[in-house]
Amino acid sequence: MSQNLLEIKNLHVKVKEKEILKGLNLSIPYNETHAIMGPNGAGKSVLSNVLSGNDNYSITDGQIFFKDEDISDLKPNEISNLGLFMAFQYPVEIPGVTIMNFLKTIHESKRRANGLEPFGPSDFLKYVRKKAKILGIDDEVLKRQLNVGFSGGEKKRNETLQLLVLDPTLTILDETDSGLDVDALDIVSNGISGMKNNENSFLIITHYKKLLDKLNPSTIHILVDGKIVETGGPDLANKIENKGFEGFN
Amino acid sequence: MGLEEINSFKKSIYDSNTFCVYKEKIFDSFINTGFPNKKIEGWKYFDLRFKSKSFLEKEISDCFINIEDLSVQNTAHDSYDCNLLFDDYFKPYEFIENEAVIDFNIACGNQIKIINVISSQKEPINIKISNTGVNISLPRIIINLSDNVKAKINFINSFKDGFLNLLIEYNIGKNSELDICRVNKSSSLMVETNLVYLKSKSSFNMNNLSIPNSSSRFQLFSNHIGENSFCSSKTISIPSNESNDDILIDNIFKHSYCESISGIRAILKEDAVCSFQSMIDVKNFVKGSRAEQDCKGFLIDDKATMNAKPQMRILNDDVVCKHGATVGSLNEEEIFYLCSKGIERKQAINLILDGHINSYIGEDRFLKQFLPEEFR
Repeated sequence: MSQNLLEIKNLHVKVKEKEILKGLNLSIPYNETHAIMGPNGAGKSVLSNVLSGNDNYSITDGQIFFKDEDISDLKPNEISNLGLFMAFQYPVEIPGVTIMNFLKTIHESKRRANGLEPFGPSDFLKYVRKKAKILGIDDEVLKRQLNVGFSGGEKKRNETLQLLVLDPTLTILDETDSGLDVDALDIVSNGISGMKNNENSFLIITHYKKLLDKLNPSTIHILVDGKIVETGGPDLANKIENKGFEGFN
Repeated sequence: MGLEEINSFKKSIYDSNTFCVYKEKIFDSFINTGFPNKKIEGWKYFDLRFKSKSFLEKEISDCFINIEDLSVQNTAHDSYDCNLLFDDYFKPYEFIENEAVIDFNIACGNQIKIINVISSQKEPINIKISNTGVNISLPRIIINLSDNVKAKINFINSFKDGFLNLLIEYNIGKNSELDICRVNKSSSLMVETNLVYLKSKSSFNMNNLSIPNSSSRFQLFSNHIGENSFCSSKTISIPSNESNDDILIDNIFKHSYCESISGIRAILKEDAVCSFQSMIDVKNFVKGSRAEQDCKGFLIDDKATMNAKPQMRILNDDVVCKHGATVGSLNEEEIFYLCSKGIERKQAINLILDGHINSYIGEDRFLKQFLPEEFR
């Protein structure tokens, strides 16, 4: 068994005919928090979509190993049920589906995929309420339709609730901090910090240092023009905060 | 339709009373208009003339109209022509000219059921339509709500093996409210025409789940004959493979300050076809009308077909109207979002469609039990 939870080797990805990722290499060991920073259009969101199995993006070369399994050809639900979770930058609205119903469905899917019996209704309700409480979400919100009419902050908080309910091995936070006010950022980052254990890892995609200060990543990667151009410690984030990405071209 | 067949039909007209002359007149009108509906030429409805040909030599027979849970003070009874006033009997014919399925029913039908609701109902009235044999059935149901009455009807049409041409009239009294949950799970050729007469401050709400397994046509003509009346008709159409589901909704504003809502959510798989035509018709002397109509068709498979034709004929300036129609496949972004959280693609599609059903007709337990299993 590899010591890396995620290992990306020489990844090339095209969107329609345009190559976006151009030989990206990245390794994330178990029990580590990494961050990817980069200018607009560098390929950060493309990377998170490819890792989640979005078939709008074509992998033209390279491999992605998650828990030692090549996930390049897996479907999005199969990747998710292996334990990879993406918190979306722009969660979509699903009318008529309540948050509670959605959470129950995804939790059942994961348990079934892993050969476990789904929770009974009352056990699941207790389980969700416990997770929702961490994020300050009350029962009335759980009855609302998924992301319908939500503010940007509410959507991100809802993504974080899904994260707590599914308890994945690798979490990709795709600009989770955008749209959150100071208090909401505190609640969300505390919720995520509380999840950290020896068996999971986090990949934070962000433009800003705020969330990094809360989640303390051990490693920062700089993504420019489809490639990781530099990898370093937390100081790298300070450097970008002060000087921007110009020096990394 | 050949002369021999016409004569055969004329012989089959059951009548032994003074209405005979008028029935002949109506029958002639229906023959001139076309058998049995002019709309086969007018728009993209299934060809009723062609489909009903195999039934022409069959007898006209009764179907079963079961009525349950009608509280004591209200009444339901079978009635032949002599028990109806002339005006009541011929009202549909006068109201909708050249609507041949109506003419056909009035001229040839021999089964009439009348339900009089004179006091509010605590429990829903259950009406079920079924049949045996492979004949033509031409039943007519007249539902009268007195003034200041609230009632709910659960209506199930499970006609099979024949040709049903059903005419239902709703006479809604002043300040009265009628809620209807309609389920169409017919599995043979079927036309159902609903005529609604709304007196002042009355309301008519129909949630319609149409899951035919053959060719089915549903027509609703709501006639606002009193001020401040309200009519809502919301349809969920899920015809099975190789089935047609034609829906026509006409809201006719004959009085001021009335409101109507009509629309459809159609979920179409494999070779299923749905046609939705809706009309907002505001007369020139009618003020303060509000109306909206919308149509959403979800094409799940490449061969599925949706036809939509929202129409407005508005002859007065004091009107607020909205209309819209969208037809297409499901949003791939939504499907990916659900799949990326662990849900299989097929289940994700069903969850999205179930959401559209819920957000349109609400959590209606009666209708939900008849939904295809994947949406329950």
